[in-house]
Amino acid sequence: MRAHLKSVPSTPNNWDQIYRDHHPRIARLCRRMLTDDDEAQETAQEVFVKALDHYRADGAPDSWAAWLTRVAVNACHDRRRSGWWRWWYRRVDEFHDSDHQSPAPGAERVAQGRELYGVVWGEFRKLPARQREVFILRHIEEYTTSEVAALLQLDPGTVKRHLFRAVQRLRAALKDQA
Amino acid sequence: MNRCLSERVLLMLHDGEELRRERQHLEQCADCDRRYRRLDDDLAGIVAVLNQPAPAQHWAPRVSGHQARMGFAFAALVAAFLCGRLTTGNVGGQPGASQPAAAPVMVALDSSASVSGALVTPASYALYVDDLLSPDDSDSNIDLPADNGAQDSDDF
Repeated sequence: MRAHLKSVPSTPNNWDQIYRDHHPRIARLCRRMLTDDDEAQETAQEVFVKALDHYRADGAPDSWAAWLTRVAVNACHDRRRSGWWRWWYRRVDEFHDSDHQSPAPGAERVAQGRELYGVVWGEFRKLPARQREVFILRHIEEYTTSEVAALLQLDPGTVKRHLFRAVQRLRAALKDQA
Repeated sequence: MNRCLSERVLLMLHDGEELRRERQHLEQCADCDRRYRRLDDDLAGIVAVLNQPAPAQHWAPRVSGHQARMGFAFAALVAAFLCGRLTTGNVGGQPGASQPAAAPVMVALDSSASVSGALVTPASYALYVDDLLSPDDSDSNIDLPADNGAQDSDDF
């Protein structure tokens, strides 16, 4: 064991490359799961610290992408559980025109785009955490249903059920807005 | 019989599940095809919005300042009431306490020898009279002849 540890350098040779390749994706994943930029940045940093620890203890995983995704999902879970104090506070969205510019700027289109943006994000934030995770991993990160099930350690049938409910709610919000 | 596909099945087909019969139906049924396209459009729209940066947020207290002040005032009122009940309930001898009848009774019992102390209130006066009418302990010291009753019964 000691010999193994000695043979592993404290940082992978291609660590910079790994960080450059995966950090934007992991940060984006955390941002969508936690829906909070500051917490997402902290969690993404935490994931890469864990990655280094894991590398020093057990060497490089078979696939950095899958390993980092799994650790990020778990870190987001932990982060959400520890946020009990937030019960006393509610988050209030601040919408800025610059966040959601319409491709063809016109007063009506900007207004519609702004409304759609607010409705979708508002409803997305109201979804239960599990439904949000499943939707992100399936439709934004584009994992297959079985991959999502493996990542979240759920049954594929459960993943499909969560996904269906999430889609239903988001579509209902879209319909109401229309 | 309505063989049109449910929303759940449409989503499963959208996810690329191998449902041969349902996919065949989708190709033949114009209504299901229209619903499938609408689902596809909706999902594309939702994903496009969620690919944009999340709206900035700030934390606001769940209760307003006015509600918080009213809550504190009410809590203070309840605390003062409970505190008052507890403290006055323990002091029996003080005038104006929660048990006003208890004070004169205590006085009457303690100062049973003095009549002036017992005649403070009607309740204590009643106790005083009761005390006078009750059989005195000194009566038990009188020696009565033990065989009085037996002789009477023999005479009868």
